[in-house]
Amino acid sequence: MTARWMWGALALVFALHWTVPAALIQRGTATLERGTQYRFRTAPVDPVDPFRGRYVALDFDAARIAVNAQAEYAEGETLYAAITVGDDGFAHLLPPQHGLPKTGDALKVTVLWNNEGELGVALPFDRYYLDEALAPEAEQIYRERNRRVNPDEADDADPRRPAYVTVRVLDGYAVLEQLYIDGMPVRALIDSQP
Amino acid sequence: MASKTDWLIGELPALERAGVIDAQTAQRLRAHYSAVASASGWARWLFPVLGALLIGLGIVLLVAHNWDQLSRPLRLLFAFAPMTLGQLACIAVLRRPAVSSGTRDAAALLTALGFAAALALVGQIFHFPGDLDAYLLSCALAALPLVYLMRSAAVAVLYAAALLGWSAAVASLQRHPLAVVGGYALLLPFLLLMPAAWRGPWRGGLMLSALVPMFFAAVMLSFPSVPRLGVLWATAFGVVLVWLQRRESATAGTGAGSGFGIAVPAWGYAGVAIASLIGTVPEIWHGWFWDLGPVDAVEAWIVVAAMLAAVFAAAWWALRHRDILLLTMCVPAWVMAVVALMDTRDIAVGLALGFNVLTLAIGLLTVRDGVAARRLDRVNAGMLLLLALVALRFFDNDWSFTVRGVAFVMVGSGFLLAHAWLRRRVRT
Repeated sequence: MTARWMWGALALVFALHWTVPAALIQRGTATLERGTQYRFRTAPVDPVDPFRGRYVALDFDAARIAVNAQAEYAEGETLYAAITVGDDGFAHLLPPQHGLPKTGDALKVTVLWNNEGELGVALPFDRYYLDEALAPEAEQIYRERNRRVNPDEADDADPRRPAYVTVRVLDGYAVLEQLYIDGMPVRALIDSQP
Repeated sequence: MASKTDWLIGELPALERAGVIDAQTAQRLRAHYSAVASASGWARWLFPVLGALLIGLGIVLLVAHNWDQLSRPLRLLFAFAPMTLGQLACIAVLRRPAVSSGTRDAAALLTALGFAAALALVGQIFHFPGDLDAYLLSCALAALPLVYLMRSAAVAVLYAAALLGWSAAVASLQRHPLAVVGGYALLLPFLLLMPAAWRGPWRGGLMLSALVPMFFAAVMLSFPSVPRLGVLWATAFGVVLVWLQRRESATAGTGAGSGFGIAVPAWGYAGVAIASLIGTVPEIWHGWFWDLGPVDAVEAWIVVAAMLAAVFAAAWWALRHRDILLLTMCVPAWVMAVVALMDTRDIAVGLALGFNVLTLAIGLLTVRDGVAARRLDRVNAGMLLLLALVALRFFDNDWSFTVRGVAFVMVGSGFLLAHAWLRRRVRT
């Protein structure tokens, strides 16, 4: 390989190394700035990613969609589910379809399971990254607040009421914005602890 | 250091002729500086590469801490800093043609790991979902050009490791064995076509020792979860490794100094030996019949079929060169391929007996091959296989403890005596 070709190829490779993360940053920033905001109910738990660190994994009500019992969905299939907002102000998903709907926002989802009338999907957001010391603390606070909010409920009752996330959606692309526990952003809630 | 040593060694004949030093002194100097040059060659590669690897992994860990008290723009600035440093190091290294391979590897590693850290930090800042498979594949593809542009064996290993991680992390429905094979095939030009000086003799051997098991495991992980398919892949791949090494040894006249080193054929022997030993257990043939035929796992079968074709080529070569050991090692793959789609419950005991005979033959022929080549490592490998076979039989039979105990003592004593006899006849 001649020196000129080598330097040209190296410049191209280095440019690509910059382009990939830069494109992700551009898309994420544009979605956060111009996307429509939705709230999704969730329940956080605290696991670890070997490369990106500690996060709270999020389990969403919206990831279980009521569908026609006769409808066929293939496991692993990627579809688009239109977003609707309920009377409670939280977002829900309509039965997914191929391609983006003509009107309104939608999320790109992956079919996980189909159980006669209920469809389990993976949403394009499933975690909220936090400082390695704060993530377990966030989960702990969530559990305490949940007990305080629902003192009469059984231990195995659905604990999703006090937590939700805000998500910005733009042209079918979604970026998680903030995790709220008991109505407060998680970082502010942790900072307010004695 | 190396150039000064070379100069000194080059001057020795002239100094000897001029009577400045005598022949013995010249010989002692030659021996001393050869050892120093060899040791410093290793150190000159190992220290910068380990340093870059540790710095790169340290950066990934620092990223993982999550500095969420810092502003997003500041964190994004940090995301690109390690990669920028790596890229500047690459430019500096390439501007100096005489730079050592270790420095080149270190700069390339730093760039590849800097890219991985940048991608991880961007994912963390925007709370991107899991997708470990997509992340590892992106890191692998970003690292691949550096293998060629920086002539970096260390980044080749990093690329192979990322592909292995991708193969393990990808969801079962999205596994593509052909894509895994294709991914590793992208390293072939580096391994086969590029000048050997790019890699250096021991760096090439070291790289192959790491790449071969990674490729084997990555392909295995991309297969559907059918045990017989995995065992068939192990034995066929093992035969091909052994064949490649024996072919090269036959061409070069010796196995020592070949590009394959010792580790690569050792992986091959291990693959064939373990698969053959598994075949000696009747329960395997009772329960492991196929539930996924070629129609359900097209790509896996294409990969296995290609490897079986290579086994046929190996057998043809073995026939032409009267290599009985290699020819015998081909047989387990053929038998497993023939019975692959059969319900073998009715012939399970017969198959297991056949595999006992085959494994015994492979063990004995390996010992004979080791004696003929005067290689104690091969003799030990053959004896180890025989020992494993004997141990398996003693454990899965209904013989009394006394009988098994006496048999163990007798076979063990036999091994010790045989080993003592062989040590006097073959080199280590």
